Amino acid sequence: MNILAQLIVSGVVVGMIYGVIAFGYQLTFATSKTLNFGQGEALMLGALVGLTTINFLIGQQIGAFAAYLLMLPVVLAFGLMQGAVVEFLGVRQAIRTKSEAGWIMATIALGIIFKNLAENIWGRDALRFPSPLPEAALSFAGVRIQPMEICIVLGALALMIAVEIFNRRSIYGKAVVATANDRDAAGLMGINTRLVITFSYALSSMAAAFAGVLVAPVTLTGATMGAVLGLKAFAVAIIGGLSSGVGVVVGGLILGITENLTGYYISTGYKDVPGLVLLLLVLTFKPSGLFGSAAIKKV
Amino acid sequence: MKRSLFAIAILASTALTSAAFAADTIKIGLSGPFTGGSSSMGVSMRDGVKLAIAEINKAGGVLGKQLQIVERDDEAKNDVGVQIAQELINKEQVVATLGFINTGVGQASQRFYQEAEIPVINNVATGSVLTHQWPDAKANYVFRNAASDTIQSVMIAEEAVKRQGFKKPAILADSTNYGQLGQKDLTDALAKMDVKPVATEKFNIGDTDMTAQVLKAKEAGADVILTYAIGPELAQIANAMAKLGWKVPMIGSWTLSMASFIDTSGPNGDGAMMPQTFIEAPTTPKRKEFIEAYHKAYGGDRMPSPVSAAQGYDSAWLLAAAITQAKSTDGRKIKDALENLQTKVEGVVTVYDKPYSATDHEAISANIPVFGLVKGGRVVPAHPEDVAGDKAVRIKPKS
Amino acid sequence: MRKGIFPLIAIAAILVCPFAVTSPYYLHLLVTIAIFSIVTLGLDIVFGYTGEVSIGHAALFGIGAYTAGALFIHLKLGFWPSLMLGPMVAALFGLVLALPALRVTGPYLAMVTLAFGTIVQILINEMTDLGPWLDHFNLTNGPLGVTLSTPNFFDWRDWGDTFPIFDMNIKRMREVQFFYVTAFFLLLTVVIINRVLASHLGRAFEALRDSPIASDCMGVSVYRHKVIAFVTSAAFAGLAGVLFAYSEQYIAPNNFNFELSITFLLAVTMGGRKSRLGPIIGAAIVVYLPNLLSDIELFRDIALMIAVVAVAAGAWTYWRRPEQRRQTIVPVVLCLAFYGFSLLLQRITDFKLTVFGLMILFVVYYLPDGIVGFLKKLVGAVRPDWVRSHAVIKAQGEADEALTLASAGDGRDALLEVRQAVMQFGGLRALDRVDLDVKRGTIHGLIGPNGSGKSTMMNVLTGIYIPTSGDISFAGQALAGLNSPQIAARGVARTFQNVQLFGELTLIENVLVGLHHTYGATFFDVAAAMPRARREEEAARKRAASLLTFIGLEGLANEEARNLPYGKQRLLEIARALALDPQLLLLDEPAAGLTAPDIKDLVRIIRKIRDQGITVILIEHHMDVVMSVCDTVSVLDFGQKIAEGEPAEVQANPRVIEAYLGGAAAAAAA
Repeated sequence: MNILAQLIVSGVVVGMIYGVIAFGYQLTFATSKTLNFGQGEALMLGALVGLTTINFLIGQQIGAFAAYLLMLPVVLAFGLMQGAVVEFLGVRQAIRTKSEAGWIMATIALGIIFKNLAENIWGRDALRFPSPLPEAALSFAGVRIQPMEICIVLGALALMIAVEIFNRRSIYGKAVVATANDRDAAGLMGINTRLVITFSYALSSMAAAFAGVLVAPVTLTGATMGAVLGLKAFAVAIIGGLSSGVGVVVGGLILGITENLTGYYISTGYKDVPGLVLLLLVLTFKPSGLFGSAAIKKV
Repeated sequence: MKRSLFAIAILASTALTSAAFAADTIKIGLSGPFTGGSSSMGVSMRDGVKLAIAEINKAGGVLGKQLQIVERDDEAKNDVGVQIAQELINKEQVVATLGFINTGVGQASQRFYQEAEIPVINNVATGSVLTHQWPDAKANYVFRNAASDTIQSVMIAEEAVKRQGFKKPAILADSTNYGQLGQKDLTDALAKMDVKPVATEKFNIGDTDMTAQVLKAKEAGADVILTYAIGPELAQIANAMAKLGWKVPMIGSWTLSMASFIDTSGPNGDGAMMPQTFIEAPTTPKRKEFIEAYHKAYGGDRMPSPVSAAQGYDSAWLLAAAITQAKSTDGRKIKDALENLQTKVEGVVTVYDKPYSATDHEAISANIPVFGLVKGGRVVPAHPEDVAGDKAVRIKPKS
Repeated sequence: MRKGIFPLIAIAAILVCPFAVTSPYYLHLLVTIAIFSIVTLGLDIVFGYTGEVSIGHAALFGIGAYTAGALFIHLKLGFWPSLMLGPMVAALFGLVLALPALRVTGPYLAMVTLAFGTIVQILINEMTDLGPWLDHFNLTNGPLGVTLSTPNFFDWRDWGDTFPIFDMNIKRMREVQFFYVTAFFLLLTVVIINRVLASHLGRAFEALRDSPIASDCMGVSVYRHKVIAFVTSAAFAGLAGVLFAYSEQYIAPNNFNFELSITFLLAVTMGGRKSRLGPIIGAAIVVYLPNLLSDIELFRDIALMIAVVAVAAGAWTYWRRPEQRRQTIVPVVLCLAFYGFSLLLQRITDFKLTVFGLMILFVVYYLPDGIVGFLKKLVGAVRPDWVRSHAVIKAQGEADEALTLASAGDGRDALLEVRQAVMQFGGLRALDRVDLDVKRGTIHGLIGPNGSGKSTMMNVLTGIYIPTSGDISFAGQALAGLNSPQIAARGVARTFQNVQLFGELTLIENVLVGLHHTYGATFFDVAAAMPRARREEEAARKRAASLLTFIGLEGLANEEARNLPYGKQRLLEIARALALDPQLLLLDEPAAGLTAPDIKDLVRIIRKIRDQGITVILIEHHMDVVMSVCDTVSVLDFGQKIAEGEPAEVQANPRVIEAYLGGAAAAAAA
């Protein structure tokens, strides 16, 4: 029983990270029907920029926890900027020419470039990210969890809720929602839809960068850290649905937990397979995702 | 039509590039991953080789000519390795090649050297199969100066079972060629001591969560973890063990000395043990000189992968000695010279006194590596008595 | 004449090649280029023609290679059996992947294939032990990889130790033979793909990209044809995989990774989509790329060359096309910057991937049509007829052969019966319990103000919308549960309010898409150029020509549809719909945007159609058209049917007047 609980807890933590990245996919997909295939790299860059910042702050005799908090705005700002760059270089032209292949290739290319640059700036080895919280695990009825892991879950939820509230409440958020509903109509209503799309990319990368600094203290930080996470988040986005906020959270949890259970009860070698099979099943039986709603075709 | 055009284009470009290299040098190929996950080993190896080549050239080169390194990044990918092998052989016309970090790349590419009768010295890759890929061939052009997995796995098993008395080992290995071959060797070595691993788990490169694997080992009641993987994932294991509040010793292949393991596991990695052909400590004048020269050339105060650097350095000296003895750059003659090396080569790892014979292409014998121990962010000898006094330089016994 | 010469030159070049290229390194490079070309040519069907992005072709390629590997290690089966089975196994995997993934449009295929690539790599890695129930069978040899040996097809040693010509030893002979075999399969691939793309299948691939909805409504199922395209493409990837396994002689799971898939995509884009030459040029570039990126000197030379070409092209544009000056400055500056970058680089290996990424970006931005597309544009500026992207179809047909007689009823039985149809979109009820009876052989008008639900009705009838409730029966059969292609196959054709032509196809090709149902030839008939395929194509072309004559567009048969004036586009849509040999034709505002003489023509054509026994439902705002041709008129308002009857009767109905003019006006009139 303890083992099952332990596996589920670990699955939830990983699942929340998947969820945040997938949430980023969903943000841009809503406004522009495109998404960033280099999202994993956005996460990686966020974590590495965070690492440099926090190391600098710790070097200034600031405590690890305070340094972490001070670093957050820097990373979030960097994420926003990086997302805007991706949109500007990779997506804008493709949207204008309505070229599906264009944005997919361009965002992949940007991902490759970012990864290579990170390798050259931060080195090719994985680095250690100073943990803001004690690393000793807490024990709840035999289930062990690190304080930082709790932070991951709470932080991920907080970010998603914050963005949702922003989208619902602020005038700017309403522009995002309007663009998501009907880009042409929103454009006619005087909304600068291009700016909205840029903004959604910025938000999306910000979410990824945030996920990066959340996950960095419990895993490793390095140029290759994003690739696998970005890929898993694809599965999550499809399973949960690209149009549903709840979907990505649930999808993330499903994938994270399945992976751990398969790893333990079937074989650690096949850990990744059931999640991906689940993806094919969801596509077969509910293509819009478990929580997605089918789009209405316009003729 | 486009094919002929392309052929012409290729021919033209060949002419251009070969004209550029008409200088009177001896070309030596260098193949290793300089980008991607295992690049810290590749880069250290490359730097070690370059250091040696620079020294050789400063001392007048070989056969009156300068040695020239033609380095290619195999990206740890088999097909890129194959393409590079053919390029080095047919286009660059190297006289020999040093390199291979990844067993798979070696396996895929060595065939071409064998066919072209050009010697290869494997200076980092450890897969047992590499030096005897063609048991039926008349001649074997593949040599090695790294501790093969056969040696390492036996050492690991003996250290765990005999020296430290563990009874229930769990094996954690990555799903690559390296991990799986090593896991097999390790299982065999344990079987010879009548020990069966209580758990054998694997994981993929880039996995961020090792809870399931470590939990399985823990539940199986393991008293020691034996590993065959590379740095980042090894660190994840150490961290997952710490998270689960479970502390058993980690003993594994030499990759536990990678900076990416030591740095990222921090205190969790302290105490991990691994066979080492070279530990970054000035235990002999030659080693002191090497370490100082390395840091002078490439900066830093710790090598990313000391073993790779040292073996890379030694492999270049071995090759130079063989070419000198062969008095020729003909592959067959160099091979013969390597198999019957008359001069002693004083390397960093050991003193090579007839390291190879026609049937034995392994320069590193089981007595050469010693156990290293991770302690405070550095690798130190695990059993200081092993490297004390005249044991500092361990020489391959005469067969 | 040109057509005949190209293949001959290609064959001659291939024959001579091994004698010109004596270095085994370059010969192997050429073999690799040929193998990659087979993949990229196949990928182009999916990527270029249907417009879907697959990031899983490396995995399909790997499946082919591993089929060869597994057959070799387990059954000792050599080259030829693998060559048969490899494409089949890859096609099967492609099918399993395409069936779910292609149900959804958008980036789903890209995402799913990306995941699929990962699964395949894991499976190859893990299938070293298929469990106790399969006796721990080691299928793939996992991460250790599989070693095979290049077959020696023909042993010349009977004539002595060396091949009498050119002093070839055994190793060289084997390499040369393998080169010829690979080149043969490349040629075969080109021939098959050429045939398929020139056939009704190829037209379907292009049509569904231009307008998926129109394809579906022409009975050309978008889903089905995307799956066909993907599976075909997978089979070619499998074929290439087998060749690759035997060419490399050692395969391991990490050969077939994500980056390889990206490389394939880059090759197709860079070379030029929708052509045969493009993917081959692209393959040559990407295979040669690692060499280029490993030698800093060579890299600088090439960067310099690119910069010189860019400056020259920029200068040319600057003088000759002043209006494009601004657009050209950026790429020229970028090319120069790229050369500067290459000079700054000390060691290229470290920035290899950056250069690779920049190349992709550059291609996406400035060479969206690839090298071939760029060359075509250049040549097209001088000799437009050299670079036609569509075959000229010269078929002739008579107008009176255009229409087949629909089974005429006695004018009384209802062809179409709609009962209590409801269509609900969220809170909006676009159709509210509408009944509609359309009698066979009549023209039934459907009118009403904007937003009254007319087009929704059309979409419900053709299966684009699934009604929330209600029954529809057509010729006595219920249409419930049928999708658009199935409904089209039963004889319901339509035109669209917003014209939905296949813009990049020619007029006659547009009509030929409508005639898709007349083809019975399978993929294999087409690939093997069976007489049946040719016969059907000829018949269809003749018929298409007569349909164009019928609507009076025969002179423009080989123009691209997007270049037609608006009014003619509407007529073309009618011809395309008639090609379906429908029982029922739905015309959605055919007179919108037409000039008065055009409208007259239209009325004449609609009457002629009715005279052939084809029932017509006409949505129209031009009341004079409605009044002059319709037998019966139904009026919708706010989703409800408010009136029905003969035109004159409906026109006088106060509720209709109220609906059109608003409540107050109606009250004033009363």
